Amino acid sequence: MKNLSKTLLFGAIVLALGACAPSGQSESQSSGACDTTVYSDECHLSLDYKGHNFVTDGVGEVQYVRHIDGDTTHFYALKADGTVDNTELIKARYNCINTPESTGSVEDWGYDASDYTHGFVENAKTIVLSSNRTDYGNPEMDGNGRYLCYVWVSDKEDASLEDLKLLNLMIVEAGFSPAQGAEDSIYADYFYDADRKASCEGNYIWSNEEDPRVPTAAISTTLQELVEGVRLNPETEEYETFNWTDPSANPHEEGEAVPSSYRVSFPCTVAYSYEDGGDNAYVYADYSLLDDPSTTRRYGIYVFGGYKTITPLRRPGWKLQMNGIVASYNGNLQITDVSYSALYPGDDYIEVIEQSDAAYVPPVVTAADLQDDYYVNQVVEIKNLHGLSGEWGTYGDESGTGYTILCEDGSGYRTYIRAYSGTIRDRNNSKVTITAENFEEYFCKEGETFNVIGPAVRYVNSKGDTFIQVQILKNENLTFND
Amino acid sequence: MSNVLKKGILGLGLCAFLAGVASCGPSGNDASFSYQPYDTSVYGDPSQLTATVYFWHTLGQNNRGWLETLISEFNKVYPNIRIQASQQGSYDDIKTKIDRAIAAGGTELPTMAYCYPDHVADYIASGAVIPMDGFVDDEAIGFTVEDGSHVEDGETVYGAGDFVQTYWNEGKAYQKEGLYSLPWTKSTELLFYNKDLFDQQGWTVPTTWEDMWNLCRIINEDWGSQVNGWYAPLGYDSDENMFITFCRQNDIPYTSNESDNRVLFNNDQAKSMVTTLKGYYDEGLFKTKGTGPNNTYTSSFFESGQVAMMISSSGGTSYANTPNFNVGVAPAPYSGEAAYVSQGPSLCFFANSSWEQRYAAWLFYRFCTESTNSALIATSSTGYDPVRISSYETEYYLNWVDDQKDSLFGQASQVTEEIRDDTFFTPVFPGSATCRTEVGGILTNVLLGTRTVDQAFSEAYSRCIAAL
Repeated sequence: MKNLSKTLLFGAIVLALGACAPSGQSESQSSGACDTTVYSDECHLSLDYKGHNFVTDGVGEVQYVRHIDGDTTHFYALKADGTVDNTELIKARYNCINTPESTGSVEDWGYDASDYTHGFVENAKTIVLSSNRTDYGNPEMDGNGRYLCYVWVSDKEDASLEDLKLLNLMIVEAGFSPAQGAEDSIYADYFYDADRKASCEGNYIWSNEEDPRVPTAAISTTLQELVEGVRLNPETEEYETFNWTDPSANPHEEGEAVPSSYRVSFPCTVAYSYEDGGDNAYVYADYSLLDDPSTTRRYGIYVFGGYKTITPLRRPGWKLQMNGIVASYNGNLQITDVSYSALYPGDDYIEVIEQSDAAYVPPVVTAADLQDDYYVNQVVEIKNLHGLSGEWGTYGDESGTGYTILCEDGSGYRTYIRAYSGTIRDRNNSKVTITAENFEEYFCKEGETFNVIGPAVRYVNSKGDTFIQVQILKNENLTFND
Repeated sequence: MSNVLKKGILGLGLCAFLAGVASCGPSGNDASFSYQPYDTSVYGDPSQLTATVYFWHTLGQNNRGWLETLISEFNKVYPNIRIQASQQGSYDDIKTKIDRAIAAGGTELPTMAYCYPDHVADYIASGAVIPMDGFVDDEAIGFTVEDGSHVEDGETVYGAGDFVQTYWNEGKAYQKEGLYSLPWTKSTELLFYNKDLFDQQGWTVPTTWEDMWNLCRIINEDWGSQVNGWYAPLGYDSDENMFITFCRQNDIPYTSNESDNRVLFNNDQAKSMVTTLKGYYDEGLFKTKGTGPNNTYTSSFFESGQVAMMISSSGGTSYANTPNFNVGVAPAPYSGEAAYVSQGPSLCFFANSSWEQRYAAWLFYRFCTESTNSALIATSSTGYDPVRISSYETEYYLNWVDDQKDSLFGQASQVTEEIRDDTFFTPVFPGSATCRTEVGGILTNVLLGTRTVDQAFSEAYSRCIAAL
């Protein structure tokens, strides 16, 4: 019964999403009927996967580990005896497709694309990865340390090559991605035919409809409400618990279309700008505490500019009416999908309320202050840190490399500092390049201390432990004490 | 798909396409195409023109916002023209889809699409695209002074003359006379460098290739030993561009549009140039995308600190914009002539469209490339440049430059503006895309030692001739 229910679920996913697809054929440039071929039924893996390892042979069975989004999944390889090889996490980037975003930033149909992929990889009985080659050999990787893969799924155990279906192709066929970068694919014809068919059918990315799961109208709120996880009920004038990152968790009417995220609008001031492929910023606002109006506290949040130039985010001191989607990334709230135009201001764009040069003065905190969430998403200054030990590696879902230092500051508590690999100024004001080999030398030297200005953020490690760390985002925000 | 098969499909497609188009409407085939001036007695005032324009593009979500804004603003002026824009993958994906649509009879072609000149050359050969000359000066809908103008030698210059001439003329450099593509937004190659490392080491940013090679030797000596694993003083993100740019800067023949002699790169000067580069490569002075691990862009290694400098597209400035260190930007080095490859998308317009659609598509293009709008597209796309000279003088663009003067994007835009008049394009014809790919392959194979210089050139030349 368990196996049957999963099989039914496997197929039901396809039916359910098909039933929810935006209706109607797109107004395509062709008036002909759409192709009815199911290309994913006709495309088959030609290399035998049994007894092979994807990492060394370019094809092999894997076990699902973690879902990321519509075109990225993490797996472990299965050994020849069927046991899991968890020594190397295979970060699989699906070849020849590019689904809309659903993490960090949100694009139309990104959530549905993510659900579609997730449903298959989580429920498949057999998953095989292959690479873009017709012989056995090392698979190709992209520039972000991910393997470029074809992901084959089946609801049967020990699936034959005939039973395996190419999920990458199914994603295109369903309308969640165009065929992208497929011209050199060994399955190029399938991808382009499926693309053409999906475009004709007019589902999802090919439809003219707006994704109901991506909000358009912004909810007027405050940073206090976002951070505290509450919302003022206008009828009762009472604050009620409200989940700003998971709309499905909030009460809603039966049959009401629930978006997958909220677009919000709130006043704030730019505290700290940060350029990384585009303009980003930490913003803040001060409010009286809900349960103690005599006390004021600061609330902060990170605004991800989405690799665009957004002038207001470059201006500490500027007062803005922020407009963006509330998201959670690596356990921290952030605002994403922001836009700004001096030329054609849009209804859901950032608005500049006041241009001010007032400098942001970060609160000076101690490690003791960072034992709870009070300062999360605020830019703080912490002094007299001494490093106890360090760890070099990737951070959360990011692909960049950096280092984490466990520090003490004399307050009796410890905290973490996190920085990207790169160049710092040492205590002699000389620029040095920090590497995996030397970073502990600079931060953990006996008797030496340093100061950091940066955002305090929440971090969840691989064991599920949550702690607060201060990030060094700019090299000038790190200074060594004499 | 093999070139032979592609040619077969396109050949069939040409017949099918012409048959299909003949039954549907006017053909883009030069033998029969004749521009029909906009007739208000037939189509009404242009502001009331009714049509649906299918626009294929490559824009990711980050860039779709400005496109949607422009469509919305366009519709305030032209409320009855519907722009149906869709992202179709990469440039090569668009090319493949258009080739397939041509082969299938042409009824599924868009009205207008992002393109590279090499692609348009193939479309011209299929009769799939129309020349745009007539639209430019049309009395009712052609360019006006209000679209954008600048003053030159005391004269007001507008229309085609207000476009950066390299960008505009690229649309006329095809195997057949006519304006077959229009510039949309442009980029070039720049030198990005690890400014912190340069300051730390006291290195000087090179301006000539001789300076560059000398600096690379110094970098190897001063810095190479400190880097664990794979590294290079210089990374070049495009093997093809490296070959083509070196040819241009040193007056070495590459290709031409002389119908009886198009493929020119198989010559002693080019071989000598590649031999010299091989020497620098063996010295460890540089690496390219093709010679790097997994054919990965050198920008990935630049970001991780394994490459001290890289030559890469200004359109990819965001990839160079790393939080790991301060990045500097400068013109790429030159030898002989200062010449930098012109890149970036153009738009082409397809024959399988009605005259209403063609006029509407032209009006949309004209609107989007008005001075301020062209500046908007460029500044929103980060690393790209406006296509009109007057765009650089708009309040909007000047404010943006000032706002971004401390950012890498702002600095890159200053450099690209400086070298704008030194950008070049190469002749395009059916098979020029193959030439581009093959010369990149020559460089890669010789540098890696998988081919001798003579072998690499001979094989590449044969394939290019076969692709004509």
